[in-house]
Amino acid sequence: MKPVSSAFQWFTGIWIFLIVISGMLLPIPYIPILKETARNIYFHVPQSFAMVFILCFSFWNSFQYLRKRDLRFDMKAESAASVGMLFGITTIVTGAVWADYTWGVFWNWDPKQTLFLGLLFVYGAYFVLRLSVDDPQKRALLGAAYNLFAFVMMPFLVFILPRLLPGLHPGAPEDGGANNPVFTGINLLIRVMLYSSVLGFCMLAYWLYTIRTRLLILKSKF
Amino acid sequence: MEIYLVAGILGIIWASLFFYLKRLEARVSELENEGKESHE
Repeated sequence: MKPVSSAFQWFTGIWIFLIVISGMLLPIPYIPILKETARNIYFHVPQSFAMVFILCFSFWNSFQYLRKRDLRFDMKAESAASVGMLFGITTIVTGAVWADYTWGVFWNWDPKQTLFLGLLFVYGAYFVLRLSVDDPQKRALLGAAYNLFAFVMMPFLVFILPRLLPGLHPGAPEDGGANNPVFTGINLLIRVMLYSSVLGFCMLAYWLYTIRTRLLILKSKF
Repeated sequence: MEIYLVAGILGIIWASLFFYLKRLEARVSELENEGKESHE
């Protein structure tokens, strides 16, 4: 697998640095209850977008493995899934800290929180399944087949069910249903910052994915 | 004032992580090159 260019690395580094600094220092509209914690939208939400973005690579590589039976695709699928898990965990952690400030507890079984955790368990099972098989080809085959099912569950667990069930997250039925305020009801500066941050975290996820894949390929050679 | 402190701390954490990733990237390239040379 080709490494990302040095220009890509520097661009990602500087882009996220600017997001971190401007996300903290630019003015943010006063939102009752959220107050200054609203700035977490620039970190918590993009990390979940980055997870979805990199899990698409995992799905695609598992699909390619099933077509071509080349173990390199399996390694790519595994590394993308592990980077996706990393971003999933950071999303849960930043969300729990935010929830403590705004809802009063770290965890309150809100449908979006709970289903997102469920998705992490689904992908956790992917790694457990892989660990339980010794033969590389068999492991890759089982892993790839499972990964396709895991990916198909993702839109339901992350995007569809939380909008149908009552809860505290924005986008729940009491909050306007499918009109998630991230896409419609927030001011332009927040939206520009949010999408810039999504871009930055997706680039970071891709960079981590390339490093992890190259490490796995190296490991398989020695 | 606190917000400047938080921005500074997060900036330093990100910068450290970035340079760690740069070093890791360089190390992986080095190992790949060593592998190629020993193969030849």
